[in-house]
Amino acid sequence: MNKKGAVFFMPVLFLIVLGVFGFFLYSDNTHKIKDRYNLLGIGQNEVINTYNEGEKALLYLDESVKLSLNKALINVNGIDIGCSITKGYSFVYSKGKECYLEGDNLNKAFGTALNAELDKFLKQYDDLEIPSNSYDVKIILNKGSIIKGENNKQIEVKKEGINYMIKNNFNVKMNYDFSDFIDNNKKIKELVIKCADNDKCWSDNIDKKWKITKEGKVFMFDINTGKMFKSYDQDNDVELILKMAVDMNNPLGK
Amino acid sequence: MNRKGSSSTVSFYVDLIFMMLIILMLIVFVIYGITVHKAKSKEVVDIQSVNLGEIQLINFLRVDDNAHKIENFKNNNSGLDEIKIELEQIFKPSFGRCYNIMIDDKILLTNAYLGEGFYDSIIKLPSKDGIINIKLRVQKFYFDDKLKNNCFSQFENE
Repeated sequence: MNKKGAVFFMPVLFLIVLGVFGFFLYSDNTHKIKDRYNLLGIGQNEVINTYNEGEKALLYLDESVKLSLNKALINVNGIDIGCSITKGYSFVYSKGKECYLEGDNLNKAFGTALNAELDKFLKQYDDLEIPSNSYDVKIILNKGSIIKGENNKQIEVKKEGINYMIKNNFNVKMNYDFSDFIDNNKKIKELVIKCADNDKCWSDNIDKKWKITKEGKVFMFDINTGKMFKSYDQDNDVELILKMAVDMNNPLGK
Repeated sequence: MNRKGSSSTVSFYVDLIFMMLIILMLIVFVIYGITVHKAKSKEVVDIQSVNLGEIQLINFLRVDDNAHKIENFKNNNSGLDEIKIELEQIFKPSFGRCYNIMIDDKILLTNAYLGEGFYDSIIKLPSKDGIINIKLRVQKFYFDDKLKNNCFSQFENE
């Protein structure tokens, strides 16, 4: 055997092994993310964890809506839905303009009150940002009602290598059919046509449960519905009282 | 002759040293591989148990106003039996695991065996007083029949 070759064989072999070892460590350290997802179940777990975070946020949203519904219902009064407000009363008719609390107007009024309540809860959630105060709320009447909310801004869960976007919507059942709003607005609508600015006519024709306050040609109504609701921030149930007004100056917009 | 002899002795020791170094590196290499493999295998099992428990709890809280019942329990310790029955139905160990469910420091549902290595997961719910934390504790997989039997029998006795 060539002795020179024998002398250099082990150092060369050592260098080769060292090189392989070094390369392995280098690959192991520089491809951490890639390696993580190559491990059995790690990638899938990351996906499930991300999904879980989204589900937790949606659960929080649903529960916040449930808590806010009754409070929002009580707070519908005094919201400007396009015909202005006065002393906590929403004008449902003002100088020829109709803003009766039905259909889209009712969605808008209730949606505004609900968004305001919801915002308080959603701001407290610090795991993720749940974009709030801009839910487009719709009331669907169906054995009580279903309250649907849609938000253009999605909930975003960001993780290393994962970007998960969830629709920021809710769909919650409410044990109330909004008949007080619909029926009483229908009655006001009839009286606007029948009585115009005749205050005696208004006094004679309003329901006995209504309380009327007059200021010139502005008539304000307190309508006791007799229905009690539990608000999350009050110990006792609160009666739903609708506060609506009509401005009969320049009646029928003439 | 002497020079030749000393040269081959040096060569022998050089070879020996490098050979030992190579063997040492191989040993380190193998130990490193085994350690990493063990750690990674353990991690997978633990994470899976938390994930599944969380999903079940979220589903439980979503139905039948259960979140509200949990809030009542937190505030005045009432309604425990009602929640327990429902939780037991959902968490009955079809997955072969035992769960401990706690709200803050109050144990809502427990089981017989509280071994080492259970993990916390926190689910947040809104309330008038701020956020309620529902802490879920999930135990590891059961690897032996003895522990598994303990867990099952405890659920059945309650």
